[in-house]
Amino acid sequence: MSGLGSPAQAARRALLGLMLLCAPARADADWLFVPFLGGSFAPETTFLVFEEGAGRKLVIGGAVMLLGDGLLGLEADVGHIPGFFEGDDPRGLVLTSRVTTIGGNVVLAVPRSLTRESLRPYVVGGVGLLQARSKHAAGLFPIDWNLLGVTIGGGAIGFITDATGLRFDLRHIKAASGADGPLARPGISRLSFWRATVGLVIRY
Amino acid sequence: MRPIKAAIVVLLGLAVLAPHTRAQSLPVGLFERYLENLRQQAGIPGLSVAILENRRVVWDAGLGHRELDGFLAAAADTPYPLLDLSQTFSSTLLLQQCVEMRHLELADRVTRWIPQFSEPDTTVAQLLAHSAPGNGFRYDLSRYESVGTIVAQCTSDRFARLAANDILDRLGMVDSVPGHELGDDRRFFSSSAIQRYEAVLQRVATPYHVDSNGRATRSSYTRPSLTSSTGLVSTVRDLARFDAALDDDGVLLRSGTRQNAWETLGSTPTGLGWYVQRYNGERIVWHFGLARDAYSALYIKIPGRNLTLILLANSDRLAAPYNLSNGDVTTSIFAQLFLKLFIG
Repeated sequence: MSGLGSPAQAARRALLGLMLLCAPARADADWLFVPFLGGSFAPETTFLVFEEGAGRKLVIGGAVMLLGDGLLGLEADVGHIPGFFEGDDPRGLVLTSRVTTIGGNVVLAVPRSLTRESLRPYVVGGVGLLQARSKHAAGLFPIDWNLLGVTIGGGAIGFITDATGLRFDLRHIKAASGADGPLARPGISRLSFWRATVGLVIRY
Repeated sequence: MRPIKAAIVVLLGLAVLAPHTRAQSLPVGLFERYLENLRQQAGIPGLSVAILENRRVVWDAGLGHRELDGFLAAAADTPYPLLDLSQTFSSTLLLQQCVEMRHLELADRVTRWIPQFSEPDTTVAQLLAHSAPGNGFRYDLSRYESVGTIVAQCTSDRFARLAANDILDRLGMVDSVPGHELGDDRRFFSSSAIQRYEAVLQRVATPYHVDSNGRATRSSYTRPSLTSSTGLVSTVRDLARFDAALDDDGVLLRSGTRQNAWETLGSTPTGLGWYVQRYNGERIVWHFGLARDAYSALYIKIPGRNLTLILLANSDRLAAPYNLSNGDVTTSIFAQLFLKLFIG
């Protein structure tokens, strides 16, 4: 059932490529480490979903951004959503579930010469691995997929001290491939959701 | 004497409790929770279900609504058009009335009974199996209507009256009607029967079209008269009576006849009026029903486990998303649920 091969490999290659691109970046660019916390919402999926309220869950994760004073930056991002397919019913049919995203993104930020010391807005987009897992009562209809994921979003970074700050981030994450689920609606992605997070920014 | 009396009491107690104990061994509660979830995800406004084990109903129910506007709940006695499931009745009638009465051989050419039939080499067995010499399998509702003509020829009776007398009335299927539109057959039934049929037809679940977002809107459905392909109206509770009788040797069919009906004919995915396939080493005997944008039905039997599932729905979502006419019921998520949960 799992499409482990190509999407996962493609995501890893994309991430590696992006990180390699970081190497020749300007020497004065900052490395930003961003552990974040937030929530997922507005989920859509072609997978069978067995609980009301699935997809609106706590998100934890971290990002590494390479961002200079100019327009262009890079980001590697890992997000983890435990219990993604579980709803509000403690006696629900879903036993365990999670969605994990690993992505490499390009960041377009407003140059620091314009924002000075205020919040610095950015948009972000990239590709990566979207991993969905769900186990259900009696072992029926398990979800075990590794998908090529696409991310687009934006946010703003502001520094409180010289080395620390906050990042406010909103992004839409979706599987690049379309429907093939047994009850799939045409035209929607296999899995998509919005992710809103607040992160602590540590400048290195 | 006392030990003998005690033993008799214990045995009687076990005999009474046995079906319930067995019934509880089936994960019916879990099946219901999954089924209700799938119903909602599939966009089926109303779904009626019955599960039988050893010729006894272990669970029947209605999920959702037979009519959304009036918030009328679906129930186990909600009537639906049986659509293609009518074929299982037709084949049963032909086997019972013509083959077991020795009026007809399954190897007979169809043209023996219908001289104008356009396929001179096709046998009655091939007609029942939706196959033809040289052409293999082809699911064709209009072609299957010839089964009813053969039954009428070999019995010198009306097909609708035979269906009513020899199956519906005989089995006490009081919520079933031999024709969604009674038409010309009306004059062959008593006025009390007509009254009963009309009362049942007034309770038939409303048909719905379900759009790609899962929204249901009331649709139109042209009521068919009874043919051997389609037209019966029934409930899951009544179908359970048919199912139990089918499995009871000699009530509808002799065991040898039934076995023959549930064997595939050559390389086709069909037996005599039924689809037949294997799943995890078990033979599955099944049929589906489909009226686009209106109704659907699914009827699955696992003879080796004495298990049956009957589903009737007032949208086409039980069957339309799957190419069931090709002969693989495991493409249906509803069939998968039943088979995985009850067979593994």
